[in-house]
Amino acid sequence: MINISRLKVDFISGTQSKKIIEGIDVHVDEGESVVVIGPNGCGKTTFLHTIAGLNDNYSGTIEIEEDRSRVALILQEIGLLPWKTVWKNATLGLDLQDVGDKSRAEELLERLDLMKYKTDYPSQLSGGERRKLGLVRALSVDPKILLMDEPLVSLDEFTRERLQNTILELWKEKGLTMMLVTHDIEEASFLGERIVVLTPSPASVKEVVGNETMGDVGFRRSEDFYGTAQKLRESLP
Amino acid sequence: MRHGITRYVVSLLFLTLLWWLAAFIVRQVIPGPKSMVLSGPIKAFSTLFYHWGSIWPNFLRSAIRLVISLLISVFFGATTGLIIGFEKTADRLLSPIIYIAYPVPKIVFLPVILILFGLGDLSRVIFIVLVITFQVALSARDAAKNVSNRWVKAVESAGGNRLQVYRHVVIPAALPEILTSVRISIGLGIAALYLAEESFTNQGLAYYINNSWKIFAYSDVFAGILAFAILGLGLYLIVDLVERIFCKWNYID
Repeated sequence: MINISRLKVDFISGTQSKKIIEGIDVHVDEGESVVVIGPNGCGKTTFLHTIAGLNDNYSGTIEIEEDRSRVALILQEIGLLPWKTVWKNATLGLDLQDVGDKSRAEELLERLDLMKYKTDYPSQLSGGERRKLGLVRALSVDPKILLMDEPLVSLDEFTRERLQNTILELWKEKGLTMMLVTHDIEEASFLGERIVVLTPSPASVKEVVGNETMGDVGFRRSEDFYGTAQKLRESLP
Repeated sequence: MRHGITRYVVSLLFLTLLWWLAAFIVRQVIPGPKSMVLSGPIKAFSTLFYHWGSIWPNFLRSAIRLVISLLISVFFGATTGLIIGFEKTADRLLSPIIYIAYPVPKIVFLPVILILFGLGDLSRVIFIVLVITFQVALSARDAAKNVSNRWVKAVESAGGNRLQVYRHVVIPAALPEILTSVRISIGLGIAALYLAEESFTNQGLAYYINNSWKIFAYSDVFAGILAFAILGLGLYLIVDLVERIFCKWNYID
């Protein structure tokens, strides 16, 4: 469970201060998937980083029921370490937490078809494979909460849809509490049980769009999918 | 690897040819015994071979002095450089000190060091360390400054502490640049070693070369220079090997 209330973030540089987040209240239930959508530069990334604990300069409250070690974050630029092999990148979280058993990483690599690249380096992978490796790295620590910052940005349509399917499958299977930030309307409609629409900078909640019928791969072709996407289009500034 | 060896052999032949040509011209232009001052390559190589017995202890002594100095410099230089580059407070406090101390010609301190620490190897090592360390520290600092924030965030968001950020991000990211600074340090270190071995010692390649000058044994002078070249080449090859092992990711086609 994640509970965010009256979250405000100001960036201060020198004597100037700039409002990034004006006040956001969001509640995410255990096992729920919430997508945060908003225009570029509205403060989505700052919002997610603040929840993930990468930014201490905020006011308001962030309550997370889980232990910090069970919260995983996938950054927009993924942040794969170029000097580590695919295997070492996949097991990074486990190494950092001193977990000896790497079977979960192995299982995920196998499942996402990356095992064959085990000894390769990230620069040898395609864009889609790197994103998948980012997903493996985040999930190998068996998180309860998964935070994702535009995890599929700059991928071709085909790869993006396939990876959206993978994310959806993993979310259901592992019972993850998921929060995803994106500027892609269809991604939001496909992956969010609820979609929080943010205003342009400084960010605040403009509207919350319900999308309870999502949940299987076929959803993309249903009337409801287009209905949600349409609502989002109307809501976005 | 075979191509590597071929490249070295071809380069060696090319340099030897230039050397031979220079010696030949000097012999034609300058008459008399003065022309002997530039020994030809064949004479120098054969002297190196036949006098190896007396050159070897000097080579070994120089190599030990240089390698120990390099290890100390790299350890302290890289450690402080990485911290200064990565921690903003350390940068503000220590960067000015480095900027002031780095350009001072360290040779002026050699007599001071010899008086304070005696005429043994310790003084010579301290002098070489003084010459090299700043340069390594500056390279490491710049490398650490350029570490991408997304790598740091990746480790931090996965629960990594500061030490783990150094271990998994800062050190491996900076390693190629640190090794480049080590290569530069080998050249600088040999120059410093030469100065440090010129006086108050009875062993070392610089001592051997100086001594040979005094007795007009010119081919021994050049044999000593060749020994220095071998020492430098050996160290460069070791650094290359270290880079191939620890920076494998940098060698992907």
